[in-house]
Amino acid sequence: MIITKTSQAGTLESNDIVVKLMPNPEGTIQINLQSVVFKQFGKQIKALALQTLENHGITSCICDLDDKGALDYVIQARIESAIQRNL
Amino acid sequence: MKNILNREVPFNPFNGVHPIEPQSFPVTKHNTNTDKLHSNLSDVLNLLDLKDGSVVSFHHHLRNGDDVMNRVMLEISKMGIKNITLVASSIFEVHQPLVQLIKDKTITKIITAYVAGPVAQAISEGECQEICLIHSHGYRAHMIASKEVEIDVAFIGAPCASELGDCSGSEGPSACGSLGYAVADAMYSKKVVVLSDYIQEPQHIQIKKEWVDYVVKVDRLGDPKGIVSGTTTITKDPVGLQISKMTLKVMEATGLLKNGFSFQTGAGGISLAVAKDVLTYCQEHKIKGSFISGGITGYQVDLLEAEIFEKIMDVQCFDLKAVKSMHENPKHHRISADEYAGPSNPDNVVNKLDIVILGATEIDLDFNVNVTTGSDGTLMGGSGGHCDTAAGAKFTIIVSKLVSSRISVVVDKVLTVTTPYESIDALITDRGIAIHPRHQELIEHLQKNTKLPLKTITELYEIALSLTGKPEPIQFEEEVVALSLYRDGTVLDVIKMVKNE
Amino acid sequence: MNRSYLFIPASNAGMILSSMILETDAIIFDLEDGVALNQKEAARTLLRNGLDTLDFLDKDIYVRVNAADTVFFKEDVLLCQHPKVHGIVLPKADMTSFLSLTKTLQPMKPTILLIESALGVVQLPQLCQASPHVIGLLLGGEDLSADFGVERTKEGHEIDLARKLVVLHAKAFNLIAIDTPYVDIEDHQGLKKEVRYAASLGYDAKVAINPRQVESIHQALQVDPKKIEEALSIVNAFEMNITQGIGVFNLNGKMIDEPIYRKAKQVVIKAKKEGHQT
Repeated sequence: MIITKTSQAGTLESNDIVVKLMPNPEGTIQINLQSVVFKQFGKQIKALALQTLENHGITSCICDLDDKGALDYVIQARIESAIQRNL
Repeated sequence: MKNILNREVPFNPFNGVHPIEPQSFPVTKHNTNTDKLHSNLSDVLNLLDLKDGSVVSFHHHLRNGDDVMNRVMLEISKMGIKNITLVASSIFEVHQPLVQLIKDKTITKIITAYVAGPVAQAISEGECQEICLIHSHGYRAHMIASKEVEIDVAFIGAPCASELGDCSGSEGPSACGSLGYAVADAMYSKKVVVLSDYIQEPQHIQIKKEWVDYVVKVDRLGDPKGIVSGTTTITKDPVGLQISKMTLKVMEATGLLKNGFSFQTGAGGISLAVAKDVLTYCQEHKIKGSFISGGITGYQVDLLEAEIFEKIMDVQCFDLKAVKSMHENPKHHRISADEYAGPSNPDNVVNKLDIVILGATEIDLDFNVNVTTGSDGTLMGGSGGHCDTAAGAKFTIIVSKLVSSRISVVVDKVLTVTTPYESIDALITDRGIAIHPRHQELIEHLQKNTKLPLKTITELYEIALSLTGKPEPIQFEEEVVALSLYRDGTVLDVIKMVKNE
Repeated sequence: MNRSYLFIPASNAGMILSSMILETDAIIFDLEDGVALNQKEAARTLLRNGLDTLDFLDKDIYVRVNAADTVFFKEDVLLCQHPKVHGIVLPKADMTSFLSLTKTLQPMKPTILLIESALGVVQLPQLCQASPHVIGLLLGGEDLSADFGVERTKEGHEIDLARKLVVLHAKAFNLIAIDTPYVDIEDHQGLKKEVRYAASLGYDAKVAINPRQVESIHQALQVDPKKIEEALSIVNAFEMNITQGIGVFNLNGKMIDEPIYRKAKQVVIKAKKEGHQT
């Protein structure tokens, strides 16, 4: 599925993450991550985001993540909600 | 070489917690001049024989409102002097102007007990030419008195100073309370310059005129709002309050919570909640303690005024309530760093402590504690009084949430050792309590008689990992930027330059 | 026996994460009034992920779903099929909404009915007997007074009849009675007073809307140790006397007969269950 409009989910509170989905003219999945735990979990968060998007059948989007230390299940939930809001 | 904790250090390796040989250092200075008062700082600086490589010192009692260190260092830099060693008892965000002086080599070495903010960042990024030393409050007093570090000029910001240099910290518009970390500087430095915005005979003298060479009147010592910015309030987080309640139960189980007990807490939100819960507990059980010590806030003052404790031994004040109490209540004593925690002073306060409550950035599976670097490896703290109080107290408790914003306080190996495991007795978190295995009887007692969630530290580590996932190890450059010293001057660990992506 | 039920908005990631370590006996994850309208779907997703991943230790987990006449109801109820969800809290409970629930949630789970409308109060006899899965009644004072069109007061006279009817039916049909939230979070004295009042009517527990209320609720529900001692002496005296054929006697100036003995025995049994030393 190709993302064609903008949607967002999550909050900037501690332990949460803001997920913003936007169309990507280049036709791929591009993930941009800002995180308070970038050094420790940056790689893991990006990989999880990619996998979650793919699991939901997304093939193209820009995914901006502003992370305040969200655990994996929160990241997955917020991405799912952002996708829901995009349909 | 490896030290006893298996950390690679360049020299003088930490060799365990051992009794430190008592030593005393007679004060030889006795300045009877009457002509000390000046109104121009740079005049005084020119009289001082400051040159390349001089060692200067400052205290941190004006906290994040301090103007003294910035002002003096900027003046020194204007004189074209380089390679200063800065012996500052602590450095805060307000000292950002010093970053430029580090970069241009006005300052090439820093020796301190605590550093945060832009200066800490600069040291971590390798901007300081020489390797810096991060030590404890107690060791600083010893280091200065023994002349292991010889201070050429001590600059002492005093909220109230007489024309001849008798000083008090608890009077004047910039009152900050105790000047405990300036006393050794005043007694043992080659020259002492007092700066004050309030020239008056003080009611209580903590720095004596015979130690002082010059008194400079300045228009202001700093920003009063920032001066008492060490204020932390009790945590409102229900999780933190839970931790505090569990801490009381563990304290009770140690058998130390009885008449005559002595107590200290750090100034963190959870530690202060423990102070409040101690008040309630002592009132309910009609217990009277002996003394409270350390950095003092209004919450400890409450304990004194409720007559739960007989006295406060105050080495630094964190808020106005503490400053006022120190000034007005004869049971609220001001003490020097040496009287507080001087390692070669067998009568020091920390040796008489029953229980101390401390925080931690990291604690590892051996129970070593890190409060020197953040979890990302950047300098952000220091020993402060951590390893001093932990060594002196009969029972040392670390309080912390287990996981905060995906970062676990329990790690496999701390990034930097600040306080060795031998001084740590218990870790109390929201997800479980780990008592050091050396206290088998206490562990059994708690298991049998309470419903407290006792765990091994490894179990806590695994609980944390199950929540956060395994973090990537922090990458460092090879270059050492600072050493973490124990209170006997031996090297516990090294701090390396952070790698920036 | 749960003394406290803490509402936790399911939209708050941080609160879900710390829910299991808070002092409360039971948790009600809230998808309804504690969550803004445009966050309800996201809250359900977040809660589902949290239920999959987290360990809630020994706490009973309930979920307050959205009302039966909303678009969210069906998916909320289906989420309650999750194995970690112990039971469901049905808002605006009456015979119509309860029927919707039984049609949607199969098999049913333990259900607490939130009585917060005049109709709900009036239909209590039918509701209490509608299903063996109904295990408790929760009084919802705020919405109830709104339904009446009257002001909600701290002293609570406007909900007093409903409060008594709810506990009356709970006792008649052996259900748990849970008292309405106390809205002034800073007023712990007022909270304790209300908890004791409700307990004196027969309520078993109180809802908390803020974690800091839980300690006060537990303190207010603590049985006075003197009362336990008194009950114990009555029980011991009666059981001794009855072996000699004496069924009525005087103990410390009080007449003790069988009903008084039975009541004292209940106090002793409850105290033993709560871990008091007897």
